[in-house]
Amino acid sequence: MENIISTKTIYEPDSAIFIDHDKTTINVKVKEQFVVKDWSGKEHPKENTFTRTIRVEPSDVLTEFLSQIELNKVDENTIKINTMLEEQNKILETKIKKDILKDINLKTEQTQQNDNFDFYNMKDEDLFKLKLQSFEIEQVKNSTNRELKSSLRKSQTFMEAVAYTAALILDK
Amino acid sequence: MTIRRPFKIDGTTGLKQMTDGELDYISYLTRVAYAALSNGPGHITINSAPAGYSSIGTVDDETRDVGRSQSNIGDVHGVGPDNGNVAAPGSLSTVTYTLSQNYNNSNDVPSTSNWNLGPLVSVDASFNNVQPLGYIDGVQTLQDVYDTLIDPIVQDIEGGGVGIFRLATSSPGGDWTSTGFSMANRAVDPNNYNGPSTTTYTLYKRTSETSPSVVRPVRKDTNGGFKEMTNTEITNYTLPLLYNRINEGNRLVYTFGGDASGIDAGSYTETHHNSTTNASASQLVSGHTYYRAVTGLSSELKYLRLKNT
Repeated sequence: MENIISTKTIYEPDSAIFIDHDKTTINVKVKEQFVVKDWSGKEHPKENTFTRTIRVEPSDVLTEFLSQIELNKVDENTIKINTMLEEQNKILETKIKKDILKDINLKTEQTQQNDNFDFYNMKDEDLFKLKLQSFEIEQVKNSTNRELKSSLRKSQTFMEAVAYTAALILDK
Repeated sequence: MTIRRPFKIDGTTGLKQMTDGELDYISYLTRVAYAALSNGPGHITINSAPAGYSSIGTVDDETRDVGRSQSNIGDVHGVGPDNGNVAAPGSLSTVTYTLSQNYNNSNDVPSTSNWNLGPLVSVDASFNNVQPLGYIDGVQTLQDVYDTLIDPIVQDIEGGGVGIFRLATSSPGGDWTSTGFSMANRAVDPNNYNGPSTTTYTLYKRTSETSPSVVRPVRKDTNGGFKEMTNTEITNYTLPLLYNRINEGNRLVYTFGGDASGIDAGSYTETHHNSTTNASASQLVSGHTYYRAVTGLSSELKYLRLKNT
């Protein structure tokens, strides 16, 4: 059987906060340090750490707590932690807004790229796609007018491709 | 089982054996002294466990900082809000409460001098052999003391008398004293943006009750003859044996958990929300502001119980 030689309770001042609006209950980190002597007389220091909940009403525990930490300090800590939480929320909200804005800008840029279609300066790739679309039209696909078909294939501008497509459709 | 009735001084008629009712005063004195101790043997604590204390059960009090939060996510036409762009309500925090019982002093017995000054009893039926209770011919006979004095004291505590503990949100009455050890259930409301409301449970012990009629046993007087025991002499004799009985005899043992069997010594309800809502169009507050709230309320009931012996 171990014998307790001494026990010391240390409350951490910066951790003490009120956890209710009426300021009747405190949460605080506490260290219990004690020395025990084993059967051979050897001493062993030991330590426990807890978060302790203390109600503000007469008791030995409250008396012990108040001998180390004043209630004003608890009040200060509570204000500090509440302010910190509000700031954290603001930071989180700003970050979210920023991420979303980034997302919006990316989408707008893509849309703008799609919207900037220049009839007079068409990219080869787009012209090729346009010609493919034309050849998918039934009348164009089945047309026997090789001359017009060849002209459509060789067209260099948007207007040329559209004009030969129309001509092939109207060509009976 | 041997109940040996201590003698009392009966006015001018001499020594007389005490009745059951007259033994109540010894129980009362012992229990008042026991309850007056600060964290004495058999006493319960919350989140305090020096050497010799054993856990009798734990519970986690879990909550979020707030029940609901909202975020303005800006003009995001075509981008639906989801968990990534509406902040969850605060962060999660947990406080673990461990209830412990003090099992120190479980081998205590009165000192030799206190044994010799114990209540006198008759060892035989013809009153020819009068000796201290539990110390017949200088040999410890603990069971006699348990049967005569200590187990009735335990029964009085189990009956709700001075010495019993209770976990409650407010003092059970004027006879009760706060131990100062508390535990809280913090709970947020999904319908508002405030921090958690707190229900505080405190460990109380009964420290006072109406005193029975004062009847004290007699002891040997070292100067010769017999003498009525003082209150201090009575408790010096009974308290170590009560400590001894707590652990060794498995008496006055408390449990804290989901099992409600045993003698009611209060309870604690922990509530928490298991998750938070997924933000959706239905959670639009106004403009581009959406809310998220806690959801999935669950609760856990923990009973503090005293073993019924």
